[in-house]
Amino acid sequence: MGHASIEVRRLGPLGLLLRPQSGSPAALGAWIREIYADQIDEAVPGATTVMVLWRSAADCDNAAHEIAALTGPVAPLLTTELEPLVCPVRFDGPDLDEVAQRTSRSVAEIVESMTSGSFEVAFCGFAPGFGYLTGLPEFLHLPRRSSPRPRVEAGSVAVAAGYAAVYPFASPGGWHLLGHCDVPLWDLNRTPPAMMIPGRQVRFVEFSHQSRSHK
Amino acid sequence: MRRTITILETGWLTSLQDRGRRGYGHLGVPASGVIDQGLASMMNRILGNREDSAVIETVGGLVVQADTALLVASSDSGAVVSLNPGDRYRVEQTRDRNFQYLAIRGGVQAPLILGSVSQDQLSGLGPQLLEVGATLQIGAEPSNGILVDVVAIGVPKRTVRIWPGPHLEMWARDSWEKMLGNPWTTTALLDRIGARLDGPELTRITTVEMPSEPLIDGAIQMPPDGQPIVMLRDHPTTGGYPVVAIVDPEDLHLVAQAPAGEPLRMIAGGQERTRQGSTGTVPPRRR
Repeated sequence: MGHASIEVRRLGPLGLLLRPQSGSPAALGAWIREIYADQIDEAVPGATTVMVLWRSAADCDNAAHEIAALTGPVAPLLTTELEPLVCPVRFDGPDLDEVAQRTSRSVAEIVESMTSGSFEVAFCGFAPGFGYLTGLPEFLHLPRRSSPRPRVEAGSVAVAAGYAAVYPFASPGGWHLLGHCDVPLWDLNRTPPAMMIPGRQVRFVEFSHQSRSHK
Repeated sequence: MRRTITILETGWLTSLQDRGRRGYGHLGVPASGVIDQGLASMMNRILGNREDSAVIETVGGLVVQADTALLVASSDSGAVVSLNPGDRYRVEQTRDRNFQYLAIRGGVQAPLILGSVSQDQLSGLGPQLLEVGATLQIGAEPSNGILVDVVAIGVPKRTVRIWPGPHLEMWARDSWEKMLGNPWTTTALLDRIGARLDGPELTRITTVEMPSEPLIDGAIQMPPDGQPIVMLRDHPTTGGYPVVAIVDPEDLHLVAQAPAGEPLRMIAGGQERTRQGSTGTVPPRRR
């Protein structure tokens, strides 16, 4: 028998907190939503864990032992892999110069590092459709701003606390604003309404002069 | 015939609510829904409505006007009241609880947003804000009759079951006993997102920064200032403060309903399961 692949903790009579030893919380959450679809209300990934909310305490009990007994990694089977989301960004954010200074890089180097790699939505939170994106180069891991802004515009592309994100709505915010992206990230006429879905790949591309002239 | 009511005064923390939305937490959508499901259901039931019909939740000060003849039931009095066109009805604050429910025979009708009419205080998600002058559509008379004219509404209990939180080991070993053995007090810092409590002083033994983790309803988050916050219906789906305990889902409304300054007693939820090791990890069951 192998080692347990998922650490299981109880959150009261109806909840479990699952910590995958390998693989992402996003993938584990999607798998839970498939396997226990008719027994659960929520399976919400965070940075390192998944919270699962059961409808009955008996089902929660049984699942706790089932999941604790798993020895291999799990992956969603039915959930079709989403197309990577491409976000054209105008790198003209109010904090771009300050971030360049703090990280001793040029603005061009920051733009290059934001657009050369691929990001992944690790989890959502803060607001509907707000995705925390992993894949940010180490040198851009900055703490939140010491004083948050009372208003950050929708579409702001930002970094803080080791993540990148795009604000889906205007809101207060303490992240460093690098640029702006016009892709609507929340649309109630879409199913699901969010573009930033846990597990989805995201690429930032520089908004080109050519596409700007079409506007 | 079109049946409507009009909002004349909004009062405090007033919103349209049903049972809320489930299954969108992974997209960052809070569950929302009535804070006190038992009380909201009772107001619906005595009017012959479905228990989960949409109601208006308020802390008080709400004034509505009936545009057509309507029957309403409000938890501040527990009475069914018949309103004629032009009649006004005010939902009062009461001393023994925070959240009141105004149900209307036929139920409030509003477009469903992700399966619910509930207004989320955190993100503003929902069909319609209850502003002064807003007109709400009321559904057709249900076939069920009026059950009673008035119902006695009890004082909510002040004893709350809690469970050990997933980060309890960040505090000294005696912390669980301290939480159960000492009184907690509610504060005036209350909304649909969370309730700030005064709790026993616990000794934090690790100060590592925590990554953002998913939050469950009833999670008691402990920020660095040591003032616990209980997560209510509109809580964000993830949070970065450690969770010291979890309020039993059946008792969560008791925390939200206890007026500011009211002492609360915490007792251990589900003794049986606690002994099985609810503070730690769940071992696989032997077969």
